[in-house]
Amino acid sequence: MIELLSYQFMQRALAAGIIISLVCGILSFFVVLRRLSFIGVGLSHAAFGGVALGFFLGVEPTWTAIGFCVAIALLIGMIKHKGKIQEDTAIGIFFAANMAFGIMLIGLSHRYNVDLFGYLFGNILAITAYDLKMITAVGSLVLVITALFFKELLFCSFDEEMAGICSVPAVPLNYLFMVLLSLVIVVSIKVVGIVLVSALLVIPAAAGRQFSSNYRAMLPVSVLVGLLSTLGGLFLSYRFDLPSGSTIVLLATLIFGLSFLWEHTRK
Amino acid sequence: MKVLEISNLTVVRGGTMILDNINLELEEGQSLAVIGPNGGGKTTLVKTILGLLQPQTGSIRIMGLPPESVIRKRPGTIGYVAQRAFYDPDFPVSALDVVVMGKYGKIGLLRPVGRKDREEALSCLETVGMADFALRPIGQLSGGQQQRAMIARSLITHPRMLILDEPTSGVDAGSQENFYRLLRDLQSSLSLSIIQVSHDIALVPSYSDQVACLNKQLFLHGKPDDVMRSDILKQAYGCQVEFLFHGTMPHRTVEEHRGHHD
Amino acid sequence: MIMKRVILPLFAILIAVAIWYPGAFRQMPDRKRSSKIKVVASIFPLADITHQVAGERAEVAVLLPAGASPHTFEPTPGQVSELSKASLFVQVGAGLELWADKLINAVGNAGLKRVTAAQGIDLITGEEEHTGSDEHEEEAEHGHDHGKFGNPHIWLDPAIVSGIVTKIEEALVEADPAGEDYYRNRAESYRREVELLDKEIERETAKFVIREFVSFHSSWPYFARRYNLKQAGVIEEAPGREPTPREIKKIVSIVRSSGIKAVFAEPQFSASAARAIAENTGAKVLFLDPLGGDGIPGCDSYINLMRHNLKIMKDAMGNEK
Repeated sequence: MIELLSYQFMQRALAAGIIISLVCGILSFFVVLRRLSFIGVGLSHAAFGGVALGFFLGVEPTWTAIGFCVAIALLIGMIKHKGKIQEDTAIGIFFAANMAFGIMLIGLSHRYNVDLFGYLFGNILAITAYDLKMITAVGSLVLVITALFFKELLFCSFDEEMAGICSVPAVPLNYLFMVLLSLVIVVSIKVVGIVLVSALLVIPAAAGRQFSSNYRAMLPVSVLVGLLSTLGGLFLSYRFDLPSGSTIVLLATLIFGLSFLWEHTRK
Repeated sequence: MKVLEISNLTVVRGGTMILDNINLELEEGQSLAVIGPNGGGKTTLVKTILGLLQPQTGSIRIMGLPPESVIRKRPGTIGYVAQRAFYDPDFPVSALDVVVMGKYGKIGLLRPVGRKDREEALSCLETVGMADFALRPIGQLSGGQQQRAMIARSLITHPRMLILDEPTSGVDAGSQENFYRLLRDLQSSLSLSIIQVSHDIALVPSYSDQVACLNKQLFLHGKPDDVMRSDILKQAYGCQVEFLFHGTMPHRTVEEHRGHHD
Repeated sequence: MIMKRVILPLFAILIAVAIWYPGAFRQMPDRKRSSKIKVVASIFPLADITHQVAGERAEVAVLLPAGASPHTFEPTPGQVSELSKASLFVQVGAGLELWADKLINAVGNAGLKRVTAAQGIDLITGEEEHTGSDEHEEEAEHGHDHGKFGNPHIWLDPAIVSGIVTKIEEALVEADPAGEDYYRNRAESYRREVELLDKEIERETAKFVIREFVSFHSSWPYFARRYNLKQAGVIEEAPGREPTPREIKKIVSIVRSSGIKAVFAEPQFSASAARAIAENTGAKVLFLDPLGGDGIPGCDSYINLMRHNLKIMKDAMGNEK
């Protein structure tokens, strides 16, 4: 354990892992309750479109990716709010559209292309000091806002229409949540990679839900599952020299599997 | 004093006129049953009263204010119980949590839920006879129990008016009458105004002070015994309805129309 | 509740076993103290070239495993710790290893020198085939080492590789001055081998009857330029860039009119587009491997890799019948 901490990249991996598990653990609570499980995958492809746009326009792609993700997240929220379409359908539409948009831009720019996915490459073992600052800043912002509006976000996840009738500003809060979510996703993609973010936004709460029938228990359990997967995964990947991100995701899946078994053998 | 005043209300959705020149008034402490066929505009009327839909013409005043202002400036004035209690049967909250939610708007942003709020919620559950189920996960309650919890939620803000949209559609037949009795008791003990929308023309009207028939137009606005005349109902439903009368209580016997309306 | 008592301890035991498993320490390379200098290369051909020059004086590791694509590549802690201990990182540049840039930034190894193979080389860019609108420099934020973006497959031209050998030689000498003579000798003899390879390919390709080819992605333009062949069509010009219907039509008509008998696919990418075109034209799909890897038979060194590819090309283009 001490040896593990002697490497700077492992220290940063642990630090970023803890922050991301905390933030994603709490967001995953809402993601699962709102049935937004594909939001991570959907928005990561929006980020792809954003990066392509940045390259096409000659603008720093990180900023276009963030702008693009936030815009798409708001659109997904708006479509759900205005239309008869559920969020998962809206995500499905934009998922494909953004991918196509990115590929179209690549096709339009007649130049030997850099690997856009390579640009989005993030890995928990490749965290720079700047990355760590960025994820800490975004993570704390999201945690504070989520804590401040927790009761309203809970009500909106339960029944958005009723929340509005009960004088809770449901629509603005819904948009706020989508913006927070897209910020976390786009920053985490750059820091730890697409696969890990998508997993940490879903699996912890999915496991937490198996273990508990009340949110007061589900929320801490979700965060705990996220932390356990991340720290345990990093540790195992170090001991057995395995790719760290995949180890974390598979450990989280294993924990979910156990939670599922537990829930279904208990009855 | 009039709790609700609707004048010349017209609602058009997707090019179709759903509500055509509706006029309606409700006195404080009175209960009103709005009955009519599915697709007759009942839910649209409810949503318009709640400010969720904008009318083309006409106005709605709740305690003298438009719906949006009531919801924004006087949280909790209107209580609402929807047709379906909620969307996710496994949502991890207890009945008590759900009741407290009704007060979130009144508690306000950035303020935590206090012990007093939870005690209040418990006493509301007691009012609807659900105190024993306070800590049960909401999804583990029966349809009737869930709707009682939803009523408790709407009561926590001490509303002046309660709006219910087909509240008994998920409640088994045996419990429906108990449910209507509860509403009548609440009406008298809290001097609550109640609007209940239903296609149940058998039971609902007998528990209400007034009945209105709605099928695009609001056909009638009077005492239950007057309304239950089959010619009036025929006009509202647009189909033949026959009744057997046991005293003043009508029972619908022609069942085959139900499938047609759904 | 019984399950709570069973599953949780089971899980704890599982974790504990995993953690205290006796063989668990095996991989960490820094455990064995050695005087060898450590070199990491981004892809296998560069690793092999470096190994040929460095011989026994250096440990050469490769980041991208055989068959992996940079899209999905995930390093292990062992690889990253190698990078944090390495004195030299050998990369292609030209925009191929954006992911590696980040990794190198993250390990914060101040002593790490980078050898960028593409530096100073006349890169082929997509622009050449299209209109000459002027290209903006885009490398500003990615570090300054790897020069312009362009087609990165420079190692498939042995003449360019001779220059790369020299770059690696100089870097090794600088990193490990005590081994100067050793490196210079080995570099010299390896350059001769590469020159022989070059001659051999030149001789063989000169006999090719069909001088045009179609490949899946744009891996072979340097090879084609060197040996007067023509990369007549590329199915997917850049990673993730789908061919347009007109491009497919163009490729199909090129294949038909020039008598091309094979469409080249690559083991690192899906061959389905190549198969579709092959089916439309009656050509075969053959696999060229631009990367190779340790343990891949016939492709386990740079020189063997090139011979392997030459042989496949010969089958497809060597004679009319």
